[in-house]
Amino acid sequence: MSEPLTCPVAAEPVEEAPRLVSESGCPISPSDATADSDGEAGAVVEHDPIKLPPYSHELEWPEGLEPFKVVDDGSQGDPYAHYQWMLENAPVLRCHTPQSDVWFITRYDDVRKGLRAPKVFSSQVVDPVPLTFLTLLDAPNHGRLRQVVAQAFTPKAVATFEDRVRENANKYLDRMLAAGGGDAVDHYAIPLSMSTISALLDVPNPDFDKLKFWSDETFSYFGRLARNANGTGTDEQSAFEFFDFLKENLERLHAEENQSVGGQIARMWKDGLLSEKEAKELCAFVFVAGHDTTTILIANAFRVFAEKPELLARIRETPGDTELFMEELARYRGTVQRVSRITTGDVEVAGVVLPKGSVVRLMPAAANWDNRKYPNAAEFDIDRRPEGHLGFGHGVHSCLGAPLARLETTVTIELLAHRLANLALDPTKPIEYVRGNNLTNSGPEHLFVTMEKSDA
Amino acid sequence: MSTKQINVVDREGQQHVVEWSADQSLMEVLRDNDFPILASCGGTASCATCHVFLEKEAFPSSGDRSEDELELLVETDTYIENQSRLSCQLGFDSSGEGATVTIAPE
Repeated sequence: MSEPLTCPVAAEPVEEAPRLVSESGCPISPSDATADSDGEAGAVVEHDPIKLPPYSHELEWPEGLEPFKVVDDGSQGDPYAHYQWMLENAPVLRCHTPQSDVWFITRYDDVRKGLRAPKVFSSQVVDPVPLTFLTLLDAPNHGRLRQVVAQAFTPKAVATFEDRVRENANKYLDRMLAAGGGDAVDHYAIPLSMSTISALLDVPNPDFDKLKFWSDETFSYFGRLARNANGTGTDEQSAFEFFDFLKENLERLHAEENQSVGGQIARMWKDGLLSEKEAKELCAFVFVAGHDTTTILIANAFRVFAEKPELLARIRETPGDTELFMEELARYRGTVQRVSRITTGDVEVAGVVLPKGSVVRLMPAAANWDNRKYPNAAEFDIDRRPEGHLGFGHGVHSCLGAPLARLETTVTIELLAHRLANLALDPTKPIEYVRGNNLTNSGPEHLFVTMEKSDA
Repeated sequence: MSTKQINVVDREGQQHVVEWSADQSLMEVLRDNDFPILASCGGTASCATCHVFLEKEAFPSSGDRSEDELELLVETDTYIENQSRLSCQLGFDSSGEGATVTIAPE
């Protein structure tokens, strides 16, 4: 695993727009076809043997920056300094793990192409698929199961929840204002996102802390099964308790002929279109994915306002700019950092050939900081209009809940701007970052702020 | 707001008359009328799950397909050169009153 290697990436970053090339020469679908002979774009990569670049830990990282790792040891909670270095020096970074090499792809054009090519970059990184999580499935199962829940997450369907979201958001903000601030995650973002997804799925919410625990543990279970994460030691037991709880709820929803998306899943199960395992795990996926990512995005909205409090007045005076804030936020500090794939053929990315079967992480948040696509990308610029950002993914696996995340975050942006005169990070309590177990998301786990009420 | 009516042929061959508002893409019209199109990517021409066929006569006036759109369409099993479009890329002006749109097989 430590053969001497040349690294065209680290030594000589490829500047031209990269291309993906499969064994067949088709830029988006590999096959066993024989090589092209003309050497044109799309030709088979001649690689015998494939020269692999050095590992992350063998590269010279700048002082103060630990080598990037597959499992964060605490140095990658806020990973953007790593991303900036990788974008310029190692856009295809190889990391060592005991199980396999893992390749991190960061540049915008490369990530976008990867996300558009599900036949080359397969989502089915674990076979057989251990959980009915849409992120682990390729066609046709991905489409079949996504269709079950897709109608519940269209902008039109989600809009019916706006009043409820606004009412809850005001309630949680009232409490924070009364206290002069608090934890934007625990006191606002989690209760808002969990109450919303609970309502959408019609999952009863009598014990909020238990539901949150189950949800986190299920995400850790997913991370252990599908991402080689360490797990918590209790994740499997907790996940199965959660699945049992959801199964009982599906029984209730079916008996009540409930019209929520939970009721839809229940009907498809009872009609034989979904197995019991698929029904309860799909329900769990929607619950977990429906609040965890949104929680972080909402917390990041607080953070940006704290870093740029002048934007409170701007949004207050020009409410139409809320959407600009929203989209730039998704670009600047989106939640999903790592999208896992496995290559179905040899693929060339930025001058590096990834062998068939390579475990890959496409890095949308890093890509959103690529200065080639977004000049001065490390700056939050509300006037940027970041067309094509990857904050909600791209391609067939684009974020199912994006309309819901946009709704909850937009309501938050509006409320903060309307109701606050000032918002600041609490200088006595540094931001704590999510880390570790699911190896997908990054962002604040705790973000303490102080706030002043607006007289406007 | 301007509206018009079009005919949508579903995957079972059934024809439906639906209303199209000027602020909608064709994908949004189909989705909001509960046709089973996945439209996974939400309208960014990145997934080909909202593939439709236009009538041959109407196809030329629907506008040019972008490189992104064409790349995805030709990868589908049911691509028809002079009829295939991604419905998310079709705005109100891309089709006329009474046009017929057929949803492509999955």
